[in-house]
Amino acid sequence: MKTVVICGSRRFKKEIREFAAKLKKAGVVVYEPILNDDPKINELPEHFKRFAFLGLTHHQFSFIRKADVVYFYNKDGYLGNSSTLELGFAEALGKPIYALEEDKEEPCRNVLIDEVIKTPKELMKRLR
Amino acid sequence: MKKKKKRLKVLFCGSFKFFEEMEKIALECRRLGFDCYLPKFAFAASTPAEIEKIKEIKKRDGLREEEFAKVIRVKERFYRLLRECDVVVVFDKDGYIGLSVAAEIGAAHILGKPTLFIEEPEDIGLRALLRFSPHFKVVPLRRLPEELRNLDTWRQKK
Repeated sequence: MKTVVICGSRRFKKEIREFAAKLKKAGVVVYEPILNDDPKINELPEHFKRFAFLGLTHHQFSFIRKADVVYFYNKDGYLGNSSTLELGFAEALGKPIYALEEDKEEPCRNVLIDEVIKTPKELMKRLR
Repeated sequence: MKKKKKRLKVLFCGSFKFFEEMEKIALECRRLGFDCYLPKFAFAASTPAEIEKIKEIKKRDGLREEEFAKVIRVKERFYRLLRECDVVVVFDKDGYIGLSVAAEIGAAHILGKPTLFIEEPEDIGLRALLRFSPHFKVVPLRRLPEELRNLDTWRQKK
């Protein structure tokens, strides 16, 4: 079975955790994003804040490198700046890119998505 | 026989709204002997009002098949150039980085391309990445030709 990394915004934290839990229950190795929602990150002194953000970015990059396929949880087509950065990163690595929805907002991102996959069950078929 | 000097390949990326300014600096860099590539925009021939209308329709209904095919061609060309180029210039005036450019920066990062930003990006995640990536650097626009010359000299020596 192939491994998968999930990327997406922290605004969908609950949904991403549920999606990942279903995959894990079926025995899939899932690399989940940190999705920091602790506002204290913004209270850090500027230089520490930079390290914190850098850590979050590189952490997700390392997961993308490790995983066989990349899944973007882009509910309503939404992907923030960080997830969009990850999309280009995954594209340059030549990883298969799946997403929850079509990206109607930005066609330049939409063309990087290989296939729209709505459910964990459907995704599992691609991981076999 | 003397080996022919390969010209430095410079790829610009940035929002459509900065296209004229990108064109201007690319022209200056071409005069210095660099090969400059500008992004192609699928709807560049349309007026701003038409672009707004296209955006509205595509948000509601998605792109038509032929429009989608056009965007695919434009993107394929860009990612091919990204792999082939020697240096990437991110035209992020006022720190503005659009969504499509953010994806291109992610690709430039993993490809290890020397990437020059004309300003500090507004987004804190991108700023952090820029600060600590050995191949990412902020170079003000007026110093860009000089920086490219330095990169070219260094590349020739390698």
